[in-house]
Amino acid sequence: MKPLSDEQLLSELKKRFEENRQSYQKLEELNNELSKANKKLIESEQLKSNFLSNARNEIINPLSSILSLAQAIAFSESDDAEQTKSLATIIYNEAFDLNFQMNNIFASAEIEAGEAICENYTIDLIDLIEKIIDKFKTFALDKGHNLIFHNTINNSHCYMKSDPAKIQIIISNLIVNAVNWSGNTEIVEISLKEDDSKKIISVSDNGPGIAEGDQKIIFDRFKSLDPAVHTKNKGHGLGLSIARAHAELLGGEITIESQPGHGSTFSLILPNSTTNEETMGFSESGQDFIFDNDTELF
Amino acid sequence: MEVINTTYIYSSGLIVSSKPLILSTVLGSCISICLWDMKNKIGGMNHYMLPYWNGSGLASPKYGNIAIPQLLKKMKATQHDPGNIIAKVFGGARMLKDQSAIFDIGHRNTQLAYEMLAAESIKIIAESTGGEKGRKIFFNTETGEVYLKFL
Repeated sequence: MKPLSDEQLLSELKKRFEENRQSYQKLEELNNELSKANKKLIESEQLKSNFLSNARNEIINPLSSILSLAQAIAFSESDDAEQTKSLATIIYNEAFDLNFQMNNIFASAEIEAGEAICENYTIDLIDLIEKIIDKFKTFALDKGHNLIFHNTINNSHCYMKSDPAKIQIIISNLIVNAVNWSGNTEIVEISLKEDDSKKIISVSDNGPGIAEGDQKIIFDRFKSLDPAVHTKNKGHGLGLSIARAHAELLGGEITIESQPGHGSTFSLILPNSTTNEETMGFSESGQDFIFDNDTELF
Repeated sequence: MEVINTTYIYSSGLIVSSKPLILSTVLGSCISICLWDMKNKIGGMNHYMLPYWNGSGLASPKYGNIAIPQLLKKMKATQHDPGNIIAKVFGGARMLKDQSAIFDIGHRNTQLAYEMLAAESIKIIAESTGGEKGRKIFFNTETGEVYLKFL
């Protein structure tokens, strides 16, 4: 071996010292995170018990108004079609909301039980988004918002393989959040972009925006930033944590771009095809349970 | 040979089955623990990505400290004598080569499996952990056998 020159030796030493210093720094960061995590866990349990009592109110209240309104229609003696229609509209709105809340609660229970699985269908993303927007149009209008779809893909179809039910839960939560939290803005824009091998679905509003420090918190379960707004709107603070867990399941992610005073944009980034684990290590048919020489038995 | 259905377990997923089933998954730094009840022929498997839930997001079996107790609970719910349960542990590879030992997620995941199974007095009778290669495994819940291929 060639002996090292002094210069080489010095630069190697410098490198090693630098590596060491970085290790210590990372260890310290890790310790900090640990104590923060501890605090968070205690807090999260606390929030969970709040959630149970809140959920009770939010299910019982709309349900009893649905019951009494339906009763009013059923036993009404007048034939006033207009009045019936307006009562039915209230029933629809209450039931729509309840349905959305229940879906979220069940979705999070499924994720926490490890039972969330991905179906794999060929879907038309544009068609799917239009259907979701259609579903939430009345809900948004009711609160004074217009949902607008902005498709930047030069095509009226956008086929890909994914799980439509999961995408629907993610997008509906982003839409409902934008509608509930963006204050007096009129327009909530849903856009579809293609970037390299990715599909990006964004939901933007011109609301108050979210400070950088708060952008992490909003993904925690049972958490919302402003308790005052929270009581005005229904919801449990589950939406974004569900959205994030589902996005991960689909091999994608949720990103946020926001500045206080300049609105927020939440995006779901999906891989173009399902390059998730299933196709990574498995043949297309999944029938590759084959014994060959490099199969080991445990 | 009788054809047994294969079920793929996604990361953060968890399944316990008392019917004959092949549970399969692909592992990098993640860990799958295969628990098998020898007497009743019941098998269960999880697939966790990180050791500890830090309180952010949902408390899902993406995290070992949730995935391991949850798997055990589901196994125990099926019968009364947990003494029949044995474990096989797979995964925990070091996927990023120049990580130092402290940040080796695969290693931390593996250590957690050892600690939590030991605390429950469950014996690990087979394992393939560490290294730098991904693994594909097939777990037969009827025979308790696990077939493994390196990727």
